Amino acid sequence: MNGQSGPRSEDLRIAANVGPETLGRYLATVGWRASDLPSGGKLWITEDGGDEFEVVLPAGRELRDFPMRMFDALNTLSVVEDRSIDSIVADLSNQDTDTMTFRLLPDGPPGTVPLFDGVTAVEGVRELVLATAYASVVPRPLILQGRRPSEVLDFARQVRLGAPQSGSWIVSVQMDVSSSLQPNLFDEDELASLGAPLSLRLSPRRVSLQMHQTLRATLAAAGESLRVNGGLESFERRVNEGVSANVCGALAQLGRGSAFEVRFAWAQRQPPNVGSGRFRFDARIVGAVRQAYEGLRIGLPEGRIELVGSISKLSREGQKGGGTATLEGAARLKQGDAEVRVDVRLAPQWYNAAVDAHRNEQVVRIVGSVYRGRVDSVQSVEVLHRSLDDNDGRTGTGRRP
Amino acid sequence: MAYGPYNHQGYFGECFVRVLAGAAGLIAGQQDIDVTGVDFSFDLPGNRGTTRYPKIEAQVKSWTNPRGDADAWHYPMRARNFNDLAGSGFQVSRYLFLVLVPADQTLFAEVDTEMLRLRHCGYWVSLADRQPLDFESQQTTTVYVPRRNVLTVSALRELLRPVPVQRAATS
Repeated sequence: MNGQSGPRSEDLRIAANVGPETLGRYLATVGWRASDLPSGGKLWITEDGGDEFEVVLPAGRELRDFPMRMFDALNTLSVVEDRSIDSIVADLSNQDTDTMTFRLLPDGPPGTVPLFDGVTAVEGVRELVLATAYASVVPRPLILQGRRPSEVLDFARQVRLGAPQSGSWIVSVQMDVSSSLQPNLFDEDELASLGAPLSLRLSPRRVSLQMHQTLRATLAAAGESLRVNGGLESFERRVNEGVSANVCGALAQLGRGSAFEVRFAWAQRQPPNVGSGRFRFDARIVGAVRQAYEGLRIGLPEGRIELVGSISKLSREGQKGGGTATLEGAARLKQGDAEVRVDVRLAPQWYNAAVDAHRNEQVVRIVGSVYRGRVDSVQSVEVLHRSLDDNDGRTGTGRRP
Repeated sequence: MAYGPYNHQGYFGECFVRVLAGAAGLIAGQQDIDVTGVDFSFDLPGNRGTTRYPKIEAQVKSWTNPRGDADAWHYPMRARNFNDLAGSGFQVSRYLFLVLVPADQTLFAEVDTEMLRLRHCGYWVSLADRQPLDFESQQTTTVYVPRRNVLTVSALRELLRPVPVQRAATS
């Protein structure tokens, strides 16, 4: 507002209700840096789009100009975050909900988006929630997720979608994290090692943190990809941070018609200290993410492959005893696992092992070669005692035929 | 509300200060004195219309009938306005800017191809060392504005130097 008009009484009343400690905690979580002022109070600085901004948080509530100083701070923050002071204050008073706001920046009348782009964007948000929820509990990073377990779908069904808001075109995802913030006897890794069911391990705070980490990694990967003129390597290197074909696909859907921005507002009862809470995907970044999606989803690369999964279908060929098995599970790739459903041609001795595994609902590990999307020339079929969900087959290998 | 001679004088006094702020490279942000207790904030300009610190705030008063002695102007001030500036407890320092102007409004500004002259002169004073008044019992007070405190471009910049905040005494 360029300092040309002062606050109204109502503005000061709202600003005076915000504590400098609360606003300071928020600024820290979204990446502002603080330093002490010789005049008292704290100077907070951030950089956004190459521009530097600063706010001063007053030294105490007893100061006579406290409401005006809080208004100054909120006013600058509203410019930096390009949203109203009311919206910021609402986030600051939110105790129990992590909110992810997706702001599309389309051309056209403010507060509107082309119908198909809006529908696709909401589908992208749903896919992003599913992909990050699943990524938060899988034992090994997945570069390509397959069908999600029912527990992941049940989790996503409890996530709330906020009403679209004007100011570009905005939808928000809200996760009630109050249950996640209770002191737990075990953390998620311990729960996983104890074999706890997925429904217990899917925590809203863990999912929102996973989404934050994943978006940051995807944005970094896309930026790096653009600097080196394309390629998937920067994405593949970040699979352990949650980058996957599915996430790239979801973000490509969100950016179907325009650039977009994602902002995290953490439940103020326990905001995590994870740096910037805003990620902007401009048109070039969205283009790089879309290319990555096209590249990563192709499936199995030609050459040697290791598969771990269960046999869902068997088809014997001729009298010699060989046949084709359909395996549903994970392909171990150098950059991470890809969940696949793939046909494997098996010689008689391997085929009989597959039949046993299918009958006993056991997990198998198959090493072979990929040729035109199909696994052939199998070198070994190993039956694992434990199921894939239990420990991913990393221990307890069984007999070989 | 009709625009009368006092509006004209008051507006000129504000513009006088705006000119100095503009020359000093500052943003003069007008405030509603009934809400904030000041007429203007003076800030360093920041990005995208924001401001940077340090900053100061001021009430701007214009005066056509100056009285005083050799050292100071003796400005009669309403207690309510005085209290918005007096005493400690402000994060941002507050000042009174007193602009002496001619009674004849045709003399406010004079322009030629070399220069713009604005009459007469602005002065500044801090009331941080004065105690607020009980304006139930006292309607006005006299403020002593030193004649040496001429409001110039460099003086305005100097006022923006940060000073440690003085906490209001807790009673």
